[in-house]
Amino acid sequence: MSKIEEVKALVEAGKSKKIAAAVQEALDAGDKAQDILDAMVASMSVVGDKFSAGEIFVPEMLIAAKSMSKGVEVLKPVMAGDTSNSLGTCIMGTVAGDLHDIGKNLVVMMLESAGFDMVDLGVDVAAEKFVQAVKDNDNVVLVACSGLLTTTMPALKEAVQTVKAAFPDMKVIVGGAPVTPEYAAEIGADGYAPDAGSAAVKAKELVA
Amino acid sequence: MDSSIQTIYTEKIDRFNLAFKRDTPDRVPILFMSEMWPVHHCGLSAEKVLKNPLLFYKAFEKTFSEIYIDGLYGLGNLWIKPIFDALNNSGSYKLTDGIVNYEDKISCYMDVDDYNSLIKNPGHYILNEFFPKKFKVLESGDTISAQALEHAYNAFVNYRQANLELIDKTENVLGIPIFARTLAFSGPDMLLDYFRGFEGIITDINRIPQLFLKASSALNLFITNIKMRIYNTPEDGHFILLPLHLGSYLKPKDFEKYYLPFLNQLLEMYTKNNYTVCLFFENDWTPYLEYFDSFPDGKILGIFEYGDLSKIKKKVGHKICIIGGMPISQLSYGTKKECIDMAKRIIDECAPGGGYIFSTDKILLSLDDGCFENIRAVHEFVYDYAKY
Repeated sequence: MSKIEEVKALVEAGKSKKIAAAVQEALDAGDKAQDILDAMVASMSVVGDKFSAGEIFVPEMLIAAKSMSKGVEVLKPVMAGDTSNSLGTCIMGTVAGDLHDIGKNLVVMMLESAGFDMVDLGVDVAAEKFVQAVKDNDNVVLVACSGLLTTTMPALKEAVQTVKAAFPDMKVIVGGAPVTPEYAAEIGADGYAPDAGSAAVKAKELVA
Repeated sequence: MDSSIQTIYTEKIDRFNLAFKRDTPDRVPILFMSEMWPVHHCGLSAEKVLKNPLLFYKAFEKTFSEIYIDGLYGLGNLWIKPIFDALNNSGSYKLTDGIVNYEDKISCYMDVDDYNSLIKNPGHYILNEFFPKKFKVLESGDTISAQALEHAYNAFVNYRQANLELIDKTENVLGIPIFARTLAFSGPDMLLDYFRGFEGIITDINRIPQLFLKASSALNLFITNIKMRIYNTPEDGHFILLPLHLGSYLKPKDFEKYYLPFLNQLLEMYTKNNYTVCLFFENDWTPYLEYFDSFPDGKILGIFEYGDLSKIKKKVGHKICIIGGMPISQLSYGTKKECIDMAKRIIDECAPGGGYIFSTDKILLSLDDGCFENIRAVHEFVYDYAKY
């Protein structure tokens, strides 16, 4: 197995303790940082697909994402200043009135693993704060809004519509237990994803 | 209780209790699961009713004179805010339309190093180590801490009092049983929800499984002991509500090892003591249904948020009484006819053989969770149609 294949397998298996050394070994063996990163992104894509298909569960996805994150740490100094691999910046948060963050945190990890630079605004995020974050950050290509309570669905709608009013061309993706594709379309979101795995796939589609 | 109300109440609670035993009552009972829906339906705000429990009762009185129900599942976490306020804990929870919600990432203050202390004596650990970490005002253990604790205790007493008043009036004046007498948890769920948080617990299961198992076991016994003291009349026809969280996140192999033994232990302890236990299956439990065969015999109920209820009934209906079925999305967005057609399908598939209670698939939190006309029409239909 080549070093790069080994990195790929370690990410998919969620071997976070071994990944840093494996990435370093791949670099030492002459593999390009970009190729190693691409391999890890491909691994996470497989992980996301398996999760969406019910073949693996949240803990396995979380551990895989954490492993990739540790691998990326090794690559960062090598790739410093190189933004060619980035899919752009994504602003993400749980909408106003809602503190639920487990799903949102998973989506942040999966989108990061897919190649987005993530700006996590946290929970209870007012609509205007999403807009401000788009203004404050470079190369924002996507806004992701999450909500778990049905009582905060109006806040989700407000967040989407406020972002769209300020930046009509900005892509917005939404998700959370009570959100349906129909509701997402009704409130003017460009995309909807039922889980963290498919959120990464949908997000990439939206900015392609 | 007035004798005519007593008759209505007894009829309703008996109807449910036959279904609890997976028997066949005179017709399918209708359970209403809501938090602020009746309040908003009556044009009231969460803020107002939380200041005045009588207003909450008035909302029940009006709503259930318009919509037929046989019983209410419970009340939710009403009047809990003053307890947190007394402890100056303003960061990790928020009250949204009367509903308490917590941020997982910053709500859990237990360190990995605390496991042994928790395992040794959960009560001592919670009071003397965990609370002072979670509520900074308790950290110093001085007069200010003592006063804060006293205020929190008084707020808790008020919270219990307000709940009991609302339950008492709803049952004794309206004749509508409110079933959840107390809320219990399994050890793994307590570790997840209150102590370690999601990422923490997933890491612990992988890295320190033995400590996770021992702590889950200690908490299982600790919480069950308390709950049996709080609710000590299991023969009264009500139930212990047990929301299940962690299980549905685990792969079946891990579920079998890290969750099922504790769930089974709880069910055994409660059913052995003649309690009725209502499991609230949050998330999709379809991958775990085969494990239900290991549940003990007894009055065990299951509210299902997701999954095909008719398949669930076929697979586990011999072990538990099934509750749910009516999608709240349909009640919100469907036409009256579509809702009735859906209710008919559910009744036709789930009611035969008994052991089924009609309800929504999720709790009605806000007014938008269900259109009044649809709910009324569906309940009228089920009342007339779902006779055995």
